[in-house]
Parts: sequence; C-alpha cells; structure tokens
Amino acid sequence: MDDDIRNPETDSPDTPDTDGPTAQAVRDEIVAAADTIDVGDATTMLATVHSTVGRRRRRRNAIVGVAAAGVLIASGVVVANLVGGDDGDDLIVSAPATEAPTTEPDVDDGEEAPSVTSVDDTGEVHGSDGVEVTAGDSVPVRVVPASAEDIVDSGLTVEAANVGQTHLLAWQDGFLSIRTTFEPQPLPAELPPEIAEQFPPEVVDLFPDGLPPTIDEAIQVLQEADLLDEVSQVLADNQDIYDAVYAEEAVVDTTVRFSTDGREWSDITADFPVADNYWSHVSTTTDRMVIGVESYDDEPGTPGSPRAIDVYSSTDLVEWELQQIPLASPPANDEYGSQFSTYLSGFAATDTGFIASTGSSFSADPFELLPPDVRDQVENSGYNSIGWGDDGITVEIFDDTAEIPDNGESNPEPIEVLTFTWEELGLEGPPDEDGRDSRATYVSTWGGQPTEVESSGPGWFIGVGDHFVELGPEPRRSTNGIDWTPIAAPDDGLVNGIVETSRGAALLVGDELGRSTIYEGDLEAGDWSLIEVPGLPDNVGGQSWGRSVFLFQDFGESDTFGPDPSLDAVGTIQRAEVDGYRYELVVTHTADEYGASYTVTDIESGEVVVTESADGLSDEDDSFEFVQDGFGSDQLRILDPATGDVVVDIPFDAMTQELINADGTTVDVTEPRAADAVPDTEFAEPNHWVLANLDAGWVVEELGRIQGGEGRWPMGAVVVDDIALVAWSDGTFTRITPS
Amino acid sequence: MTEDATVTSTGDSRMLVDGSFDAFFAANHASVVRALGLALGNDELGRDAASEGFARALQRWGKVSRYDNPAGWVYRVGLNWARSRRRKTFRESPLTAAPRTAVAANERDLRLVPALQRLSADHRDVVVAKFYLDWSEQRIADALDIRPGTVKSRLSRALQRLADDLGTA
Repeated sequence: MDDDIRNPETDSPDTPDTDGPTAQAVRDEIVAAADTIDVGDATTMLATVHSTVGRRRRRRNAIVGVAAAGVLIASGVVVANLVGGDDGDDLIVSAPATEAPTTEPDVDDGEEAPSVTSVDDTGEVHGSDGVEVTAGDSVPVRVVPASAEDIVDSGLTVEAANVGQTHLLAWQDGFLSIRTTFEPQPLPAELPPEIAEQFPPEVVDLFPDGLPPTIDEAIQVLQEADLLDEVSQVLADNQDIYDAVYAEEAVVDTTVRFSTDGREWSDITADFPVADNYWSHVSTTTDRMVIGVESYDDEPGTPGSPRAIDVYSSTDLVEWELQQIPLASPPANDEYGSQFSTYLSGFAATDTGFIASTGSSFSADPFELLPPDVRDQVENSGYNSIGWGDDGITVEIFDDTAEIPDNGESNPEPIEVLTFTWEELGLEGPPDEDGRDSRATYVSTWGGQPTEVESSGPGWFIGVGDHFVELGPEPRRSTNGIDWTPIAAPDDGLVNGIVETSRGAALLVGDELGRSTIYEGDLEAGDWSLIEVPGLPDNVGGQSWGRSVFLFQDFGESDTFGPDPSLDAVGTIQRAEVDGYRYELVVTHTADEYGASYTVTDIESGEVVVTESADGLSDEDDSFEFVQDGFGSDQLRILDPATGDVVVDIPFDAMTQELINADGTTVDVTEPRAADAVPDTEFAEPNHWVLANLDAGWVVEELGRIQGGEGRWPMGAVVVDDIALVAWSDGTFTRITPS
Repeated sequence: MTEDATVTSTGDSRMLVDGSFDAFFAANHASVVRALGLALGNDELGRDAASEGFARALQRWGKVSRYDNPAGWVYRVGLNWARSRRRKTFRESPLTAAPRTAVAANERDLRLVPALQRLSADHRDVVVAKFYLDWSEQRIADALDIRPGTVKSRLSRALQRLADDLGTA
C-alpha cells in the first residue's frame, strides 16, 4: 500500500540499457537506499496538508471576497500576486488560470446574540467502520442564548508580560486557577572588576553608574547602542560572565485560587510536588488533580534523558500520590555524540486511572565527531553537508557566495570534500541506530502499578467521561486502556478534538477545506447529531480545551502589500508577450455574473491567432477550449484551434496583472515589490470564539481579537455546570452563562 | 479517514476509484516521500516537498485526481517547490540554508547519495522515477512534462555515470 506510486510491473518496453544487469544493480542500490529514508508520520503529514490547504483557502477567500470571486475563474495569478508572502509558502502561484475558485458561503458577522436554532437535518453520515449514523436525528441540538461578562480577580490580575503558565481546571465542582508570575531578572548592582573588564570598553561606558535593576532595562540600553549582539556573544562564550550576570535568581510566584462561580475567588493551600513550570501534563478528574512530569536523576530540567515519568495525583492539592513509570536508561555508549531522550507525549486521566504515552528518540550527531578544526571550518563555511555511512563521514563544503543558477537545473558543486574513516575518528564503525524513535504506552488505575500495553495508535489521548479516547485517523475508545473499540465517527473529515458533554461527547471534525464541524452524541452508540452554531464562521479552526469546551480561532490576515484593491475592482486584465505573441485576457464581473475573453495576436503580422469569449462560466472544465494550464500549473498553453498544435506557452511569471476599477481606470498589481524585497507584512491578531456545553445546552461566544502586544490571549477554558469560564493571560476571565 | 477500499489491489494510482484524497495520500505517501528524498538528496527536504506537493494536489484535487498519474504530479510539484526553496534560502541565508547536516542514514551516504548528487537535477529526477518508482519512459515523460526521447537519453547518460561511480558497470 505504501509503495502504491511504484509500478508493480514494467508497463512499457524500455531500452535494453535500463533493463540490463547494470541497471539492475543501480536499481537495487536505489531501492535499498529508499528503504532507509524516514518517511515520517503519515497521519501528521496528512493533518498538515489539510490544515495548510484550509489556511490558504481561508486567506484566499478573505482577500478576494465573494464579490470578486469571478475574477478568479480566469486569473488565479492575480490572486497569487495579491496574497503572496515572502517565502512562497502561501502563494497560489501554481493555481492554473482556468481553475475555479473555492468560495465560502457568506458568514454571519457574529454580532447578533445567538438564538435558538434547531439542528440541521441534512442526510446521513457514515461511520468509518461502515456503521450508519445519523446527523440531525430526532434529538434536537440547540444553541441557547448566552451572556458574557468580564471578571477581574484582583488576586490574579498582573501585567501580561510577567505571566508564566496559567492553568484553569474544573475541579471538585468549581474552578481551579494556577498561575505562575515572575519578576524581571534582577542584575547585581555592579559586576566584579575581573568580570566587567572582559566586556568591551564601549559596553562598560554605557553604565557609568552601575547596572540597572533588571536585565530588561540593560537590554534596552544595549539595543539602543547597537551592542546587544556583541554582549550576547560575550555571555555565550564565557560561563563565568554569564554566571555573574545571572547571579541573582528571579522571583517566581505561583498563585492558586478557587471559585465555585467564576466570580468570587479565594486562595487555597496547595503544595505541588514539582514546580509548575516543569509540568509536562496537568488535568483533573472529578476530584483529583493530576500532574505528569519527566523525572530526572538531578534537578528538573537537567540535560539528558529522564529516568522516569512521574504521575502525581491529589484530592486536596497537599497530599500527593506518586505513581512512577520507569524508563529505560540511555545507552551508555556515547562516543558518537548521540542524543537520547524520552518524553511524555500523551496523557489522559479518568476517575478510574490514567493512560500515558512516551516517545523516545536516539540520534547520533556526526558533526560532533569531526576534529575541532574541521568543525570550525564547517561552522564558518556557511553552507555544507555532512553525511555518514559504513565507511566514515563525508563533509561537503560549498561556496556560500556562489551564484545559483536561476533555472534550478543544477546543484552547486562543493568547493571542498573532506572524508574521514571511522578508524581515523577513533571509532569502530557507524553508530547503531537500533532503538531510535520508539514509542510506548502505559496504563494504570489510581494507586496501581503502571504497566506497558501494546498500542499502535498515535497516542493522542483525551479523557472523556469514563473513556480514554485516542484521536487520529481512526479514533477509538477504551475504559481501561487495554481493550479498544473504534468510534463510529462521521466521515466528513478528521476528528481533531473531543470533549465531554451532557449527552456523552462532542466531536470536532475538520474537513479538507479547513472547516470545523461539531457533532454531539453518545460515544458508544455513535448517534452523532450535527450542531449548527450561529455566529461561528464556518472557516475557523478549532480544538478541544478544557472540560466541555471548544475554542475556535481564525487566522488573522496578513496585509502584505497594503489595502487590497481587488475588493473594489470589477475586472482584471492579464497581458504578456512571449515568443512573438501578445496575449491579453480581460475578465469582468458583477456580484452575480462575469465574462471573460482573450486574444493571442502575432505581434509581427498583427493577426489574431486565437481568441475566445465566455460568459457565465461555472466550472473550470467549461472554460476556454484552447487554453490549457501546463502540467505543474506554472504556465498557460495556447493551442491552435485548427490543428490543436501548441501556439505558445505563456509562463505566469511573464504576465502583467491589472485590476479594472468601476470607473474604467486600471491598477497595475504586477509584482508590487522588488523580487528580493521583504514584504511589509502585518498580521492581524486572530479572533476567538468559545463553544461550550453547559447544563442548559450549547452556548457560543465571540471573544474578540487580541489588541497587539499589550492585549491578552486565552490560556484556559472549562465548564462547570452552567458556567463556562475562559482564563486570559492578564488574569481576567470571561464568564459565560445562559441568558 | 483513510479507506483502502477506494484503491484497487494493483496499487496503481491511476486506478483510483472515487478520487478520495485521503486514500490517495495513504497509498502514495511513503513512496512520494522516498522518491523526493532520493531526488533531492535530503530526507527532511523530501518530506517537506511531499507535504507541499500533496497540499497543492488537495487544493485542486477535483482536477488532479483526474490526471493519469496524480502521484507523478505531486512528485514533480514537490521537486519544483524544493528546488525553488533551496535556491531561495541559499541565496538569502546561507547560514540557515538547507540543513547543516544532510539527513542521510547509512551506506548510501558514501556511495549512492553522492553519486546521485553528482548527476544533474534533470537526470536525477528521471533516475529516481525509473529505478525507484519503476515508471515506464512514457509515464516519466508525462509526469515530468518532457518528451519520451528525452527520458531515454537522460536515463542512458545517467545510468552510465551512476554505473561508473558505483562500480557496477
């Protein structure tokens, strides 16, 4: 299955050379080499592909707007130029000029108060195991009106810049807030003379009256003097200077507050076994708070690999029960500069127990094996390649000032190639890669001994009621972490999140357009009902947060080249002159219809070689008959109507683009920047919406956009009974209740 | 969801029945990543290029799914994207350009990978398509948008050079 792209048999006769013994030897080498390539995790890549496309479509639609969608039918390149960033990642440059746009339905602006809405009743949904489930069955799913208020708790409100971790948890019928704050790193009043003299004089001269109280202030002074990089390097190169500068510890404080209603908060006593900045996981069950940490022989945070995963749980936050998952010791043989590390990659807790997944990685670093002078040479060369194999290490060093051919059809030649045998490096042979990138899963009841269990899934665990749920392409559930049952999820996308609800659970399903759909039902019955959420745009991404809460956000927009002129345009013109032909495409549109025509003219004779017009195009395949987008979609191919022969290929790069305004004037939008200029990109902060399942039903609330660096951002959200609470980075809360 | 049922047992991507993108992805992920890793000489770049190629395929899946060889389209788009990116990053930021350590894991580092890298990009693309993907010359020509005769000549020259380098002549 994995090798599907490969032909199972030779499907046409080839030259003897490529089927002979020499070719077979090459083939054997290549196939063997291919087998060693780490293809990565397919599930992760697929999720990335879907989210990437969703993001691009959202961005594309936002830029172009529904009214201007007709332009796209025949001028995808215009869009590409308008939305192009500096790295090409989000360019639609390969969008063929004849590709139809993807338009999203108009969305609610979210300003109206949510109203009672019955569930959509559009048809059937089939589960992944073929079980038929229904969307919109007899059980109505309602979004109830809600009201929101901002809660300011004086015990928690701090400057956002000084906030560390914030956890908002549903615990023992109330809300538990755990917040770390820190003071700016203090500086000593003055440095010892033997330390100060190691700084350049111009740095010392900046502080004639001694150092400022905090490092933030010192950094500001250094930045203004353009000496920050120089000082940073001095600190990086001299441990004694670093230690002197950071001699005083910054004050870190953890505040633990509890509330039953989200309004009135009070301090409660807590004695955490490990400082919260070292927690790898934190969650709660009905009465229990659970912390998962990677445990080291020395202090937390010590470099190296942890010796165990420690799972602490408590019902009073003072007395903690420890359950330990011992981990394999790192390989003793470390002469290869190997990095071995195990980490807690997934965790979920229920009232019965917990499930944890760990990942381990092992990798050798050939760079560390090179002689010091070669390492220096490599580091200073700027561009190089290091490979290792059975015989030793090969280093290729390239000229980083060399001109790279624009056609991309050849790679730069190394200016120097260095080879080292393992023997020369004092080693017997290449490092053993066995044990690299492994994963393990452990389960335990509370108070029991964690045991390793077999698991083939990705380890994305979430606790939902009595169930552990493992998300991924084939979501499944289990009450003990050992016996698993597939979840008959709707098949219109990937299940990206799940939360507990009054009916059982709600699934967050992301489709290939990046849209999120929410279904509610019973985990065991799989009777999923679609939930329609008024006020929630359909092109936002979401994820499950705390108990019974999804949080959604859009992705902001980048205003790369200033205001988008296409929003007011009524048409576009593409022009190009290639190989003696002039090409011109004119597209005009209104909100309801559009028309397009093009001509290809022989410049020398003035003869119109090809021309077509079209009105009311509705599908890419119904567009111009004699225009093809090239394979790879980087050009148009114009065909001769009489013979079908190629008249001319017109690269998109050769085209100019103009927008036609309502008054007939045009705006040139071709390459609005120099080819190597850095765009002036401004990112709008994302908007947020919370969707929560209260006792009274589902509520939705638009949370608003972050206001620049002085604003706030959500750090936690949970539901307790009929109250949804969102914790913000500045210590405030948004409290949402049925109205 | 990834349902294998949409792909015939021959494993030929041309035989996709209902054009499900996820099924297409599941069927071709590993081989496309490997092919790009070989052609680009860098596993990590190969994975990135595959991801980009698949994303662009998904963007226009209604069209790409009707191609004879949609995986070939992804392979080519991935190649173009990676080389464009490599040129760009090389030019803009040599220090952080293509990874300091080309990810390569064993004996191919010292034999096959250098030999492949000594080929021109044109030749390398064809070699991987021929000897790893096992495509016919016509299929390679379609996927890379070159003439079958060009495929033949590139294969011949590349094979000769590889054989010399690998000592398999």
